[in-house]
Formats: sequence, C-alpha cells, structure tokens
Amino acid sequence: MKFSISREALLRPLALVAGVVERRQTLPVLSNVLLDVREEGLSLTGTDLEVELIGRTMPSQVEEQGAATVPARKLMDICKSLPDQSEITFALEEGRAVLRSGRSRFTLSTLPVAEFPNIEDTQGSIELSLPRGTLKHLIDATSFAMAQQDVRYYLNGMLLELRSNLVRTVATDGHRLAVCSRSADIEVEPAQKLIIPRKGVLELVRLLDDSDEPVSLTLGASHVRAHTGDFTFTSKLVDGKFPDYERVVPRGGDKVFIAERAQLRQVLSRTSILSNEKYRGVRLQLEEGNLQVMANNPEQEEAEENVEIEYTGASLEIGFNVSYLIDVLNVLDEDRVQMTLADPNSSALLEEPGGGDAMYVVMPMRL
Amino acid sequence: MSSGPAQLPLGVGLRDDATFSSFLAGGNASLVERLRSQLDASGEPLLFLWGAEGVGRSHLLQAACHEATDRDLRALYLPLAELGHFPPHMLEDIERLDLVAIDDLEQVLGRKRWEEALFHCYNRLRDANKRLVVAANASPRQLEVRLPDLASRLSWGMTFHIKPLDDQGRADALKLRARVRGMQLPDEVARYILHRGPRRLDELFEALETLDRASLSAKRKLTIPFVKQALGW
Repeated sequence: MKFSISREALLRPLALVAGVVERRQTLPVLSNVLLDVREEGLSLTGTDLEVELIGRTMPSQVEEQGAATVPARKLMDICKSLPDQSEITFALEEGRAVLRSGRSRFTLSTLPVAEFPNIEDTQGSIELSLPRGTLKHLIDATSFAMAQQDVRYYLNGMLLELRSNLVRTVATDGHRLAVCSRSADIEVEPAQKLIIPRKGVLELVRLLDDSDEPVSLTLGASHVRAHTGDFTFTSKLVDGKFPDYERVVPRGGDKVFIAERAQLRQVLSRTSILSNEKYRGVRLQLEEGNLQVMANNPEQEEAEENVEIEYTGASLEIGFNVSYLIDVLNVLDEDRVQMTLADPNSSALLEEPGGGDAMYVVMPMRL
Repeated sequence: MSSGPAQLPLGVGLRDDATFSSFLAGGNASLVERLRSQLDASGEPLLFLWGAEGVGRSHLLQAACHEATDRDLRALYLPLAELGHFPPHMLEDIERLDLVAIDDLEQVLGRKRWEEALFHCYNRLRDANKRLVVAANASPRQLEVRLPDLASRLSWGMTFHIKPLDDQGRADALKLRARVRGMQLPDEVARYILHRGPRRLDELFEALETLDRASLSAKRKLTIPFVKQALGW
C-alpha cells in the first residue's frame, strides 16, 4: 500500500479512532489502528473488542491500495507533532510502515491485518435516526452519573430507551441518578431499552455535535451501531436489566426551594474546600428564604455560607456529598434550579423550576 | 457499620425475587419440572413438597405464584407461619383462584378449625379443577394430622422430598443469586462466605442482601476484607 494525505485530513479521524484504543492490551494487535486505503478513500479502525470506531477520510493521492495495522498512539503522536499543513506519505515496505513528510522519516512496526479483530456485523433489527444535537444533549445531561467499575455491570453504563416519539437516557451509580428525555420523530414498537457500556457512551458523544444533522442508529441484539457522516461506531451492549428509574424518583417531597444556579454552585464549591476530602460531606440548613451551607474537616477547619433562596416552609437539615450537587448544577442550563426535599434520609430531586427535560435524584449522606 | 459519615444508597439494586430462574434445582430437577408444569392443562392438580428448614420450600412456592402471574393466572401464596394465627377465613372462596400455594402446613395442624378448612379447601379446589401446592417440614405420613380425612387428602397428589444442596450446590446457588442481583462475586470470596457464613441457605442469601446494600453505599468491590467489614465477621 502507498498513499499520501494531508496532516489535517488524517489527524481528526486518527485522534478519535485512537481514543478507542486502550493503553493496556490483552492482544498486541489491539494497540494498533487498521489503515485500509482504496480508491474511494482511507478508513481507520480502532477497537478494544467492546467498542469499535471506523473513521473515513480522503487521501490526496492513492498509489497502491492495501491495508496495514500500525501502533495507534505512536502514529498519532507523530502526526500531531508534524508541522501544520504537512503532506504525509505512507508506504508499506518489507512488512514495515514508512511514513515520510518533508525531511522526516519514521518506520513503524506492523502486525498482520488478518489478526485485527472486527466486531461481527450483527443483524440490525431496528434502524432509526435522531438529530445529533438531541442525542448529544441526552448523553451530556446524564453521563456524569454513570458508575465506574461497580460490581454491578449494569451501573457501568447508560440506559438508552427508545420509544415512539421519545428518547430517554438514564444513568446511576447507586448514589445519584440522572434521567433526561426528549421528544423525537421516531417510530419504535415495542420500546427498546439498551445499556451502552461507559466507554462506548464516552466515545459516542465525541462524534456528536449540536447540529440537527442525523445520527443513524442500528440496534442489534447484542450491539448498537451509530453512523455520523464519516464515522461508524459500534459498541457491545451490557447484557442485563437496568433498574426501574421510576421507582427511584422521589414523589413525596414537600420542601421545595428555588435558587440561582450559578450562585449556589459557587457557594457549594467554595464550601467544599473545607469538607472532608474522603466523604466530601456538606450540611445544608434550609430555612425560610435562606440556605446555609456548612462544611468541616478532620482538622476542625470550617466553612459557612448563606445563600438567598425562594422558600417558605418548615426548616430542614440534611447532608450531601457536595460533588454530587455540583455535578448536577454543572449540567443544568437554566439560570435557576429547583430542589425538592422530604427529610434527612430521603433523596432530593433537582430540576429546572417547574420541571425541564432532565431530573436528578441525589441520595443524602448521614453526617 | 461505622459511625463516620455514610452515603445512603439509592434503591437501584436489582430485585432478587423468589422465581424459578433464581432457584438452583440441584438434585430437585424433576420436582421443579413438575411444579413449573403444574399450570399446564395436563399438570398435576395437587403437589406436596416437604423438606428441612432452609432447603427452599418457600422459594419454590413463591416461584410457582410468580410463574402463574406471568401467565396471567391468579395465584395466592399463603405462608401459614404468619397467617396461621388468624382464623381460616382466607380459605373461603379460594377455588376462584387458579393456583393456591400453602406454605408451612405444619403450623396449623392439630387445630380443628384449620384442619377442617383445609380439608374443604382440598375438595373445592379439586372439584373446580384448580391447582394446589402444599409445603411442610415433613412428609404427609409423618405429619401429625388429627382429621383422618385431611390426612388422606394430603397424600392424594404427588409428593416430593426437597433434597438439600451439597457444598458445590450451595456455592453455585450463592453465585446464582449474586448474578441475579447483577453482582460479580469472585470465586474466592464465595468460598470465604460459604466457609465463614451461616449454614442455612436463606440466611446466606440475607447476607448477600446486606452485601448488596453495603457495596452500593461504599462503592466497593466484593473483596474478603470488605465482606468481613460489611457483615461484621
């Protein structure tokens, strides 16, 4: 194989595809990226056996078609560090990949193309298409609540629920839960519920933007595939049930206050400086018109802040992991936030005043 | 557990209901088969299950009721250990249901009103071609039944002895129940729990419930030190 390509045409697909490649690998070939050049263009593939990403781009010239696998990170680091607008020539010579650009020359090892695994082409039972901006918003609004390496496989991912005219994402790590729903012009009967693993969610969202351009989804029994223009993303699904989120959303809270979101976030982040580093606990004292936020740490240092809120009703003292509250305030986009509480042992509901498309449930801490 | 700050967990654990898919049949495969097919048109009208404490009598009866509900049939589970203190009115009109599961039969034996009510219950269910499954701690012959007519009814149907699981079976059952909850239980941790934990399976599964909540709260993996701490061993 031999082709030449501009640095800029190669860099974006290469960076995204290399993002899928894990630093530590069970199979040596998994640290490589598969380059396949044909008349119609160059495709790059990275995989960790769970998530696969194929990017397509146009070389400036194809002298000889063919395929090769080369170390993904080294290739990316080389391309990144070449000067802007460089023209790169890539050739396979005696089993090694030779990359030339201006007066630079790099020789990279290769591994046989036949060893490169591809996720089997599953029979897609359902195909549908969503605006990229819709899917990006749904993921951005909930992905922070996914668990990391929990013993419960189903928490280390995101539930994507697709039903006629509605898309919903749900994520929870067992301490807080995020759910976001948007209407969409789709027909799905019966409703589909898939759990996309954490890594798949984080890679998928990198392919999306805020546009109304479509992302087409193919849902298989064990895989989900997404096409966006030049990229094809495939992820295995987590096999299992996701908890029923409706059971977790509190309904009985009678203490409802409204605060300025940015102001409350600043108060919480300042207070958090003196919270216990391990537990990150802060104490909220809810009074008519005022919310007091307090934190202290094992060194007996203390922080106390007061913030004006819209609230009339009984007072309440409740503890929270401050990071969980800040995470929610970061993803809400309204200027104001509404928080509904019941008692010190029951979960809190955070949302836009009057209820937006997202709901956040945070369990309190016993301090 | 500890007196320091503690994050309360959300109720997002998966429910570990007593169903057939969470029951490790072990040496009881034919019993489970009969029980599952009891609701078929050709199913046994009467089944009698007996076995020692903690072998899974209640689990099997509840599983049969879940299965009936899944088939859109009406079923009722009657644990007489809890309900036996009341007069037996609950057995009236019971033949309107498709399946009746009576647990802990031994609890009401020797009491005239209950024995008579059970006798009529047997007859009415049979006449209505409905299904009945009864569980007790001893076989029909060993049970001390005062009413001879009831004693004869108890041995009308098929009788099964629920065999306890051997050590390998107990390990498999523990791992199965962990899997139903979506938890990964490493082999060495399962071995530790079996070695150190209670002998009775139902108590073992209660420990699993405690671990489920504790690991959700602490975001910890199930390691031996964590199990020790969470269960106070």
